[in-house]
Amino acid sequence: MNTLPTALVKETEVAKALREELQADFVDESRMFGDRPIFLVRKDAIIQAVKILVDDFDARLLTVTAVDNGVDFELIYHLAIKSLVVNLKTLVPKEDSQVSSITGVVPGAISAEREIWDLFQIKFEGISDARAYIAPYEWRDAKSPLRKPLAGIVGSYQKPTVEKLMQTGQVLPITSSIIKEREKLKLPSIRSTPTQPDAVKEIRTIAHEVKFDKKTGYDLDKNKLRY
Amino acid sequence: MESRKEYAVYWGCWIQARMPSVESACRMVFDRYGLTARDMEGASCCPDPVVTERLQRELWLSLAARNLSIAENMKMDMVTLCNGCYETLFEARDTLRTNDQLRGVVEKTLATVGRNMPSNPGLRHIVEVLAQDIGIEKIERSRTDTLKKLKVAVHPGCHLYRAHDRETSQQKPKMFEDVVAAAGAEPIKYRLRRFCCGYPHRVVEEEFSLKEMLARKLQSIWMSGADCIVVACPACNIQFEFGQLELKRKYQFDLDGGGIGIPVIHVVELVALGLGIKPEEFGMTSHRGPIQNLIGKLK
Repeated sequence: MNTLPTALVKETEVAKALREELQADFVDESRMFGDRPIFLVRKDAIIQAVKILVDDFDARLLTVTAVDNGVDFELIYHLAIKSLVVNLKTLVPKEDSQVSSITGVVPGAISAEREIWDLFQIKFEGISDARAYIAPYEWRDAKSPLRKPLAGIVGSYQKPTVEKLMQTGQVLPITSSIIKEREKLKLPSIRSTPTQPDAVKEIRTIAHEVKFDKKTGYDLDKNKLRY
Repeated sequence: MESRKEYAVYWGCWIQARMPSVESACRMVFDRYGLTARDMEGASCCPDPVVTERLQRELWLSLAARNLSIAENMKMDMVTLCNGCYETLFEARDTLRTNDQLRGVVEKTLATVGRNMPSNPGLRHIVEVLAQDIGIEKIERSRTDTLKKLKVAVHPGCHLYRAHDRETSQQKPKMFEDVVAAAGAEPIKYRLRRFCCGYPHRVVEEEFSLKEMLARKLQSIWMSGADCIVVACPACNIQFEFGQLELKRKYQFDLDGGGIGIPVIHVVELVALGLGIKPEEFGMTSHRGPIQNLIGKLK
């Protein structure tokens, strides 16, 4: 238990505690504005993260908000530690749309979680009462007004270009008939990325470095767009 | 003995994957004029200025910078045979010169894959190489009568007008016409010369691209009495060739009175023909359009 008076708790101590206890589940630290720190944690560690803030820093949950950013949901847990407000953020993949409920740590979170279920259809595992909360009765059957289609930012017409670019470094496949035609014309073998696996790796490394994979929902391990 | 000038030739995606006759013609033309085409080891898509740039500018710029870096390390000017690739590489080169923030991102990104930042890369469109580096007079002197009386509709394509200022934007399209004339063909006037072929719209809405863009352009060309269309861009080439077929099959368009359409070739193929190189030598028959119509008109 942290023995400092909560008024003296500094943002750096909160960050240090989260980083040390969550280890690899602590993903990133950023700032939205002024004195509002944002701590990005993995989805599976959200209960532990909230517990650290509540148990060690006497944090009080203000609310939980959700954003559909196209590829993933962002859940933001707003917590106050005296005058310091911190945001715990986690990403929920839209494919499974579920996350652990924190009502075991903060029972009052139930209203925010039920509201998010209503508006986004994000399922909170372990919630004691999962009924709809604020949506009009006629909207309660699978009509979540703030949930965008499962499409991400890559339009259907852009998908073949994105996937081919990430898979081969170019946007068109080299077909067997073209290879035959090239041989017939005695053209030299192709030296661009489709025949150079190391060069394709470079393309994918660059995509990861500039966060293209994150922005578009491209899964570099499975080598395709998530959806 | 004078050493041969070497170019880092950027083939892009379309030429190597769909149009080997253009690559073959380019290599033959270079050879005839004492130039050497060097392939760029590990070059990727430029990347395309329509999809990738719109999705994320940092990725688009980093990949373009990587391609420019490969050419610069070869210590040669980079030459492209595609208007779209030219647009990307031109824009990327300018952005790297003028935008410190993006330049910083790209420099850091290229370092992670062991590539250096291009400092002053040379970039040429094939039309510039033909008109300026080889030269109009040299093309005229070396041509045969193969293309005599062939009426050609020159389609410059939108990105050939890419320039630093309005005054110079007409230079490359003018060079294009000069090259066609120097090779022995007759560039004809037609109404919608500056109009887009519709290719960029195709990925978003095919029907609009074909009916509202391509069909208007083709009608204007057919009315002019052209024997063929000559392009400086493989994407325009594909749009003209396949678009004609699709307009007939899918939308029952009959713009040429029941004919089989109009052939389309790339400017390096036209120059190869002008030099007296036979169509079969560089695989011109692999075009999907009515290329025999054109072959029948050669001398």
